[in-house]
This record gives sequence, structure tokens and C-alpha cells, in this order.
Amino acid sequence: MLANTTPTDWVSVGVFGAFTVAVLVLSSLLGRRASSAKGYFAAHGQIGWFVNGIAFAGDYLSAASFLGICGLIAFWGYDGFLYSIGYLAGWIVALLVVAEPIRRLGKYTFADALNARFGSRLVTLAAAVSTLLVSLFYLIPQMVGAGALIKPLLGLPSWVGVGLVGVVVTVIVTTAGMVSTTWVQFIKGGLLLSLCAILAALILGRGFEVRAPGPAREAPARNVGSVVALPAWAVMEGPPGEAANFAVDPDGLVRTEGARTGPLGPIDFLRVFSASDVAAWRTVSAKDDTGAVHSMATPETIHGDVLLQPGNSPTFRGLRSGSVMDRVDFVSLMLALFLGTASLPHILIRYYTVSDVRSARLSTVVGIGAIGSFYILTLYLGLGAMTGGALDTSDSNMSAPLLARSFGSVLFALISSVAFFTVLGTVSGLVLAGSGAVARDLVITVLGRTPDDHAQVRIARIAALVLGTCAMILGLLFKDLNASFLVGWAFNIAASANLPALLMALFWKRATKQGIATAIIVGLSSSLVWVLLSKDAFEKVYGLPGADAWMPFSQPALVTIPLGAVAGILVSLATRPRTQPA
Amino acid sequence: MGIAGTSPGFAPILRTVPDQSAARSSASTPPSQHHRRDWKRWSLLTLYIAAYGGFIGVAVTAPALLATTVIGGINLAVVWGFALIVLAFVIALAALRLPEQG
Repeated sequence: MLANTTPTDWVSVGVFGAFTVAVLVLSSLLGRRASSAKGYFAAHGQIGWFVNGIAFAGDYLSAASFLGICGLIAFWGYDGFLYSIGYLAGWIVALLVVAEPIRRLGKYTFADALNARFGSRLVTLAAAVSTLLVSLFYLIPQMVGAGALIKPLLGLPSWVGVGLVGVVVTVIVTTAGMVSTTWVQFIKGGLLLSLCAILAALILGRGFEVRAPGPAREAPARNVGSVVALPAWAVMEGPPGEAANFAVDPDGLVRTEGARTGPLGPIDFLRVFSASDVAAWRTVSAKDDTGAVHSMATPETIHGDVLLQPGNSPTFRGLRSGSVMDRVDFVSLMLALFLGTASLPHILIRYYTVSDVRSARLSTVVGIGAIGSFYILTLYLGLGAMTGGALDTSDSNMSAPLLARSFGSVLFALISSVAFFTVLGTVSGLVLAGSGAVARDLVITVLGRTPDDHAQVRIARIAALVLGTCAMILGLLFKDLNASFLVGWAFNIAASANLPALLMALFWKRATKQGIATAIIVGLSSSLVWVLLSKDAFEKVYGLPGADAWMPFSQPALVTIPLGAVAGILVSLATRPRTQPA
Repeated sequence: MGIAGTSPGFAPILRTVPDQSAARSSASTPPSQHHRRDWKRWSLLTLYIAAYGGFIGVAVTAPALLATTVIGGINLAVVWGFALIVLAFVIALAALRLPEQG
């Protein structure tokens, strides 16, 4: 039987408490270094390239990467891995195109680099609004992840997890700014990579469970809110003639039983999976006589090779449907992932924490190595969760932590605490980016003057408090959506709002301040409106029929990135000075 | 604040926070070498875009091709996906040898 986690699971409570206290102590110790604006926003530009590189991984490997991707792979196979591929690809754009000029041009915020040529309040305002909205969209999945984690970890409701993250992050950011955020990211990134490597090694060491088919086992039904997991069983057939039973435990968690293949190498693991029939869990929803919607989780036997191809999940099913719009939707999402990384304000401001351009490049390379290694592991973690017999069929975000629980409560406590730590770190970076945009960009625009150093830090701390509160509320509103799915929207908006403006400002000498501001405003508003009127939003957020959606496909980047760029170019050409200064 | 240069390709067109090492590098590098190093940077980016775009193109136009078993019983989708991740790291290492941008 799998261990039951309750508030009296003192291993989980102890590990979680130790992590949280360590973070708060670290923030308190580093707080004295953040009294000036340069210390608070950019850690004095004195972070080493290796620490910054791992901190990049800490910033980037958010709840979406760890909880979301593993969950998507556990439920849908290769489709989750598409996010891994896209998320990493974006770092090539960051490394080869924006890293060095950003480090050279910027000082504290995204707007600094964008506005370096122009000194325009309009550009500053547009960039600040964009930073705030992108950060808020990115915050939602992090808080959703926090809410999902706290339930099995400490036996508390999800709102407690969301509240806890909000409070701790606010303490981190308001006390020590970028210095503590960087070290939190560094430690978290290192721990996450190490523990996931251990988990992947354990998955390979365990192999698959295969045995001759036996009688189906039934278990009591389980109610989780409106979700009803019916008594069910499934068969995973391995090499010809072998199969394993899956059964639903009374607590609703699925586990396997039977003989094992024994340890497998990384290639053999994928080969055996490819050649097997696998029980993948599917949820079917139906209305009862009263109109209430019930969802039933039930296993569906699918060949492993099919699960290792794109097109199984609702998001990517269009690849096999023949629908042109579904394929356009897929291309648009992959474009957003490719171009979104280099447009994320909380990633871009990390370039200000190193001393020079060379360090910016070196830290990006370290980040790519760390992040790439993690994304390779996600395929093993996700497939391990799918076949490891420890899924919660009502919550894909919990796949990785529950996989860890199948190896024992200590590993579960460690992985869950690091996952929670992951949320803390990413939220800290996002809140810091947002509070910087308020303190430096919005206030300067509104007041028409630059507050002194200490006033900027004070305003940023108040803004962090407000942003933390907003994040908590949004996390509760969107708690039922997959974290990686939500981040896909954030990438669409970031790439549409920021990338055309950034490229124009950095590389096009005829760009004007009006053109830059237009590119941001058009890209931001069009992508935001598109997302809110899309089929995914209708179905998953508003609970309305997808057929009623206004937009032909859900991921806007393919349209809104060029739209922002064209608008920016046209306005730049229309507003260019008649005569160039000598 | 004005425009500091009209560098082609990937060279950023302004520096407001001068970086001493970059300034030394730029000052001692003839214009022809600026083009060459920009060309190398552009080539690395193009290489990755081709590999990434090719993957997306195949997934959209010929998804059945991704089911083809290629190495060790593993299909093209998995091999191509892993290759994209490894290629990103190889390009990152190659980029270390590029002169500083600008």
C-alpha cells in the first residue's frame, strides 16, 4: 500500500518546515545587502556566472516545468515533452540574440534596456505594464502548483498552500530583494536537478511491472469534489505474453502489482515502453439528472509507441485530426515557447546580476546545460509516473510528487518540499520583476521624476506585497488548470508584447519611441484579448462550450507577434525624424 | 542620448553601460571580422531554427513519420526531441568561442 500522508506525517512536516525556515533565515541574513536600489534590484551586479547560471535554472524550472510537464507526460505521454523541447529552445534565442545587449544596455528592469536609446516615458510605461501583466500570468500557474502540493504534503487544503507561498515570498522579496532571490534560486535549482536525477535513477532501477494477466481487482469508488474515480483496473502488457494489473486503492491512488522487468538503461526503458500496451488514465465528464457535472477517471489501454508520439492530449490532438486550425494552433504554441523565453522580464533582469557581458553569456550556457538536463529527465519522470502506479487521476500536477511517494515517504517529503521551494523561488523572481517595474518604471512615469534609492526600494517592497496578494487570489481562481498549460499562455503574451519591441530597440536603428511603445501595446493587448476569447479559455476557465469561442485557435503568437512587429515598424516609419542629427 | 553606431546584423546599435572588455574587443576588431563573427552567430541560430522548425514541420505535415523507429527501438519523435535538447547545449558551447556581440 502506498503511504497515506496526513498532518501527522512528521517526516513531511519536518522536511517542509526545515526548507521554509532555511529560506527565511537566508533572506534575513542577506537582507542587509539590499538597502540600495542596485542591491535590491540587481544584487550589486556581483553574482558569479556559475551561481547565476544555476539561478537561471531555478528561475526557469518553475511549477510548470516540474509539476506541469511531468503531469502532462504522465497523462498524455509525449505531448508534455513538447513543452520541454519548446522551453529549452527559447534559450538559444536568449543566448545568441538578447543576452549580451541586454546586459550592456540595462540596469535594473526590462524597461531600462528597452528604453536605453529613447529615454521615453511612454516606452517606460508600456514596458512596465507589460512586465506586470506577463508576471501576473506567469504567477498563476506557480500558485496553482503550490495549492496542489500542500494537500498531499501536509494534508491541508489548497488555499493554505497558496497563502503560505504568498506570505513567504512576500517576506523574501521585501526583506532582501535580488540577493536572496538569487541564492534561493541557486539552492533550489541545484536541489531540484539533483533530486530529479535521483528519482530518474530510481525509476530506471525499478523498471516496469509485468506479469501474466490476472483477474480484475475492484476498489471502492472515490469522491473528490465533483470528480468520481470509479472502481477500475487496467492491464499493461509488456513484451508478448506479459502483462500487469493496475488497481485503484481505496484512497483513489493507482498502484501496480506483479513482477518487474528489473533495472533498465535509459534507452531500454524507452524501448520497453514503446513496445508495451500501457494503461493511461482518461477522464470522461457527464451531466446527471440535476445538471451537475461528474467526471469519471477510467483507464484506457494505449500502445506505448502511440504515447511516445505527439497528438494524444486535447491540446495537441489536432495533429492527428486533420483540422488545419488545430495544426496552426500547435505551430503557434511552439513559436510562443521558442520566442517567449527571451521575452520574460524575470529572466531578462537576471542578466543585470552579473558583472559583465562575458559572465552573462557564461551564465546562460550553464543555465542551458542545467535546464536541458532537467528536461531530458522529465520524459523519464513522466513515463515513470504514468506506469509507476501512483497517479491521482483528478490532478495531473501531482504526478511527480506522488511518483516520489511510491519510492518512500522521505523521498516524497524531499521532492514535495523542493517542488514547493521551486514555486517559492519562481514566484520570488516574478514578484521582484513586477515590483521593480512598479517602483522604477510606473512611479517614475507618473511622478515625472526619479525617487531616491531608498524610496525606490520602499516602493518596490510595497508593490511586492500587493503583487503577492494578487498572486494568491489568482492562484485560487485558476486552481483546477494544469500549470504548464497556463504557462503556455504567459509565453504567448510575453513573446507578443516584448519580443518585437526588444528586437526593434536593440537592432533596428530606425525604430522610434512611438514605434517601440506601439509594438508593446499592440502585441500585449491583441494577445491578451485573443487568449481570453479563445476556445481553451471558454472551456477551461469560463466553463462554456468551446464552439462559442470567438477565436479560430487558442494560441495567439503566430498572429500577435507579427502584428506587434508590423505595428511597431509602421509607426516607427511614420514618426521617424525628418533629419538625422550629425 | 544618440545612436552610437550602425553595426550590421546582430550587433546592438547602442551601448549605454560601456563594457570595457567589449570596448577593447570592438576597437581592435576590423569591420570585416565584425561581419564574420556576426555570420557565425547567425549560422548557429539558423542551424537551431532549422532543426526546431523541421521538427514542427514534420509534426504538422507528416506526423506518421515521427512514429518511425530509428535507433534502438525508439521512434523518431523521441530521438529528434532529445537531439534538439543536446543540440541546444552544443550550440551554447560553440557560442562560448564567439567574440562578444557588438
